[in-house]
Amino acid sequence: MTTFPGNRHEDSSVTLDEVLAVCERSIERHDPTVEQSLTLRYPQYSDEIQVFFRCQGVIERVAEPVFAALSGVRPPPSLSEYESLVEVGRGGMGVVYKGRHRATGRMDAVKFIHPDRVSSLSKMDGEGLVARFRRECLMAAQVAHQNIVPVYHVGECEQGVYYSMRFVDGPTLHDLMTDPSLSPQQSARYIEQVARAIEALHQHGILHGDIKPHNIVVDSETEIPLIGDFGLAAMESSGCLDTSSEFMGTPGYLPPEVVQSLREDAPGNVNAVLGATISADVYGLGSTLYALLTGGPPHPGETAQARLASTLARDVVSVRTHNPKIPRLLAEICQKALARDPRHRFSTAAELADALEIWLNQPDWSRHFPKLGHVLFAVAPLLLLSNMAVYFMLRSAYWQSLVWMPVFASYIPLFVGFSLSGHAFTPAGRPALRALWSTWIGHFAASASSYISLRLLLAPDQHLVMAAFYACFAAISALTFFVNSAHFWVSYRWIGFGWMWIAVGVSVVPDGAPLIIGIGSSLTACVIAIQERRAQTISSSLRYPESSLDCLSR
Amino acid sequence: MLDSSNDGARLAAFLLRMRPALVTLAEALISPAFRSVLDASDLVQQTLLEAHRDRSTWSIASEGQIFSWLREALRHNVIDAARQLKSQKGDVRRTQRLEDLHSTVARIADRLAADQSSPSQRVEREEQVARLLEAIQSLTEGQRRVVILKHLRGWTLEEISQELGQTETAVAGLLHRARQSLCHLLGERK
Repeated sequence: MTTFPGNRHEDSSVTLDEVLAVCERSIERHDPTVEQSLTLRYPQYSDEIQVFFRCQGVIERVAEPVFAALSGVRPPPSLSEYESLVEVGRGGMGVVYKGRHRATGRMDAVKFIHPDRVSSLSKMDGEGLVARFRRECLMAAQVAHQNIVPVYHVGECEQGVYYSMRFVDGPTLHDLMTDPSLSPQQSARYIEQVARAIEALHQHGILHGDIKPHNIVVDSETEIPLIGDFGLAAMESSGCLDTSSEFMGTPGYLPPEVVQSLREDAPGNVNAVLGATISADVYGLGSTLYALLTGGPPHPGETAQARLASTLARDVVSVRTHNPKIPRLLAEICQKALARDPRHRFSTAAELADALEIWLNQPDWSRHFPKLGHVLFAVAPLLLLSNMAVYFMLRSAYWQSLVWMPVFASYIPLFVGFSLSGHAFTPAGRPALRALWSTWIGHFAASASSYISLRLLLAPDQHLVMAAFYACFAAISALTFFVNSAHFWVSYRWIGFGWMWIAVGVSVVPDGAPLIIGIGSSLTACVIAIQERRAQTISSSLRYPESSLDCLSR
Repeated sequence: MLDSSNDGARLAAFLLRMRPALVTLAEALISPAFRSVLDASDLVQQTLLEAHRDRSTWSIASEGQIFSWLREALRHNVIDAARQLKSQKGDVRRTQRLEDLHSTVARIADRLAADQSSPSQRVEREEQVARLLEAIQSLTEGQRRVVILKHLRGWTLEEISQELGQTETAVAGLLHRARQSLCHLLGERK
């Protein structure tokens, strides 16, 4: 690295071309922060430096596909144990080929270190790169996990160093993230599994350091996501990567503290410079989830510089800003994984996986009781009618003693409706079904026992019995909806509050109690029905992979 | 499908328009060691622009994506040139280069297809790339060489200065001015 002249006096004698050469070398080192420091150091050339970085950025971006295409014009290497290799992809570090393993007939992926990368480096750096590649192979081979692509063999031939691994046929998450049919549930499921694999890596003392959608492949047959690239993985214990090694990580997906440390160029803090910490991996998982939910990285931008600047300058915009239909809780999980302060993130990858698992398994009425909306619309008038019947029966001496019949008859359509509308194929469905039935059978049992007790206590005054009973009924309903708000829909608590006031109301106007309760019940049924219908539209617009969920649970 | 004479004329016009871009690609493909033996513009001129001769097999209905189109055009011409060269105890290296040119164009098309999320973005990107390749031809000889080595072959400043026998400072200045004119040219045509 070129050392800068130490003071202003010397600086003023520097020619423009010399400054441009410094700029050029800093770009070659992929140092994103140099523009500002150079502008400060050479204020007399600040305009030129600005033009340099702007033009350089434009030309590099436009020329990139041509460069990538030209560096690929090279026959694939030939390996004795493989039939002819076919290129399937290339990354920053290597080229991946696929080929049939002669001995076993199995289709393998073979990853070679990028030959251009070695030849373009000095001898020492080239050796460093090869050493890093070998380390990457060893790491990948160390951990056996169903979400990590297994490594079979590490070798060296005339064309360079390579390793062979299972060939996973399928798209990467980068391919899938712009697919409109990818539901938030499926995204969460992918990230949950990947987070478990990352946790396994962490348990082995391996940090990944560059988790992004490009590095995760989804097996087309099994739908299982696999981590396929250890391009950056740094061994936690060895800390052996030299600081002169190039800038690593992917702008837009990098956590702010890593970008910050790059800017400060913190010497000696190798892991921070490389972005390899547990919380940086958690951030990587969060940004991958973000990309799946929104179709882009948490910090988008035209150029790498813009992405890095955005990472430093602002908080991540919530996924719900991009798509308000994304469930709130999932958005919160994503936001927590992407917290600016590493201490506010999930402390481990397992914690993130747990949070996603809990979210995935939470009961969801619109999914488990698809017809509930219709049922409740049908039940609402019946509830009103039965309570009106109570009102008129109380006025006649003959019918007074039979008033319990319409009161409890209104449970019948409710229970019939539940049995017709519910199905519980998913793991989350069964507890949801249990919760629904036990809550409402409990409601029925509590109402029945309070009616019997009140009738024994207050007989023969049926008016008093019913007034007291309706207060109890409203209080029991309030309790029921408070309990439900924890399981299903948070806003049930407001319905619970409503029933609290109904309980007070019927005590103030005991004569109108049946009407108040009737209106309250049918209103409640309608509100829930409308909410269910809304949830149904949202979930169908997100294209629920109902069938795939069902397969998974069995 | 359009009628074949119309197609042939369109292909010829298209290749003529793409000629500067193809020359840039050919120059980038020919490694510096072969510069004296192989002439990029000759390569493109001699073999590629005779495309319309083979127009009877040609059937592209829309011009939509430049590099996909060009790839298809080159595929025909690679076959054509290989046939021709075989019969005249040909220049193997030249055929090889032509095939490389074809595979480069194919890779550019694939790469652009893989990176872009919407078709309109892709068309825009393709046009930009084509315009850049074309604009490189309007630079001075020295500027053209450094831009090709730097941006199309990915060489470092040090390597370029060794190759050209100039100081790194001089190369940096050359490169900067080349980029400025390219930015200017790209912006002008927008």
